[in-house]
Amino acid sequence: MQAQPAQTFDPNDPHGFADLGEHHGHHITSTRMLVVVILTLVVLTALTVVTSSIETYLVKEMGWMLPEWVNIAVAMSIALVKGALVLLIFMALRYENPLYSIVFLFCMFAFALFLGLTGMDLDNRGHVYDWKVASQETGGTGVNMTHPPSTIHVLGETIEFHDLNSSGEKVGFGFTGSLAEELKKRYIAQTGITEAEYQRRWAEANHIHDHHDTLPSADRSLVRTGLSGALDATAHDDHDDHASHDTGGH
Amino acid sequence: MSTIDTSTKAGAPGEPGWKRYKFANHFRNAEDEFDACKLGFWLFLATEVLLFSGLFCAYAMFRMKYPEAFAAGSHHLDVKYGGINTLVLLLSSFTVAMSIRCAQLNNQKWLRINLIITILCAFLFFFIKLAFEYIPKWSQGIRPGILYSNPFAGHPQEPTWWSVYYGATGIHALHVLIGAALLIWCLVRSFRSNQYGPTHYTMLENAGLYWHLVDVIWIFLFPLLYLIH
Repeated sequence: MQAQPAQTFDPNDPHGFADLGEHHGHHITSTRMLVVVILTLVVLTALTVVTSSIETYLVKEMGWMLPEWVNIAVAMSIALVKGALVLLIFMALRYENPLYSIVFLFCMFAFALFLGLTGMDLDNRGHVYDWKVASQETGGTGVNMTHPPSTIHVLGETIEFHDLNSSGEKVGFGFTGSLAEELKKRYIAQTGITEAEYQRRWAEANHIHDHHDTLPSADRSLVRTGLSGALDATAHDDHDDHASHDTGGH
Repeated sequence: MSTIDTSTKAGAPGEPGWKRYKFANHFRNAEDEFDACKLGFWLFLATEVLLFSGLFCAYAMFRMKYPEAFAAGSHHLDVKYGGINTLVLLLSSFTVAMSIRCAQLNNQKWLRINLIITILCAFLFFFIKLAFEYIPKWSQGIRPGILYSNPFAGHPQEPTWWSVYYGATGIHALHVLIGAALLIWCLVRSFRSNQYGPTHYTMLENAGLYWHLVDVIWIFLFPLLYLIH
């Protein structure tokens, strides 16, 4: 007579492993929690839109000088909270195996490394170029030491600069050949309009109806809606922004 | 009488799909299979985040170099459409979380209703993006990089901004469509054989995770493109 097995056979656990290893049932997030999270997300979306328009209003209409980081810091902080809520509750990282969180955090670490090192590289190019320029001026052919500097007149100031290469040819600087400049040139050539007419059409296309009636150029930037600063925005750049506003009709 | 059930996935007619499902025989139990699938999917999501991190990095670096070009470009975007699309995606994230909850509680009807709402939101998002943003801008010559042909650029580097804009939102929109296709596949399987229930809903869970990730990416793209000047 054949012996019966002591335990009944479980087809979902053929090797009897059910008691081995940790068993954590799936977390079922409550409807209440999901509703609270979606409502919070909607409120935060409204908040970030409202704060952004308040910042623009303060800067453009009231003439406040908000620090450059405010616009970015407020919007990104709210986005971080929203993203964290979706990850922790909707994607259940808070309730599930911490291994998934580790995978995600490692990915964030890689992202931070990527962004941080690239940013550091770009941020320090200026120092490298300054150092190179200095070494070229004192050494090399010394062509810029023996020739008088070129001058340009920007906003009533005369700026001297050296723009000769080692062969003594003028190099110049600026945005020449850029795509948008080329398009502007072609448009003027095709339509036969004057520079002033082009500026009028440009202002119309860009919804500029007030005193901002000039084009930005390589020498003089025109901040229309921007609240965030340039990479190399330092004290003297702030001064330039003031100057460009004061002489808007220049 | 043998109690060994050798039936395959197609066996036991009449039972809902989630009850018929047998985990692959190289796993100890259904729980392990679920965990392994989910870990694999999280690893895939990590690679997705790294894909988008390249775009975020391009955004950050070009913004550092040309903040005024970014301000000029951002000025052309309407916060209204970006905001509505944000709300649409948030709602769809909520409904997909609800449909997974319904699978866990074996509420087949509301599982499907929530999935249908999610899929409709996905297409609404894509429609708004296409009809109110991509098509009007493209027809005005506001295009990425070398394709840019609008003579009234606000800044010489504005085409660079549009490259970043079309690159980031275009790849995101592609993910929206892929996510919608995954969710439609889930819905079809649910309609055909009640494939998702308390003991087996791996595919729905992973499709949901994908959809949430699409939402998270947009949560960051929205302020970067529309709100930061």
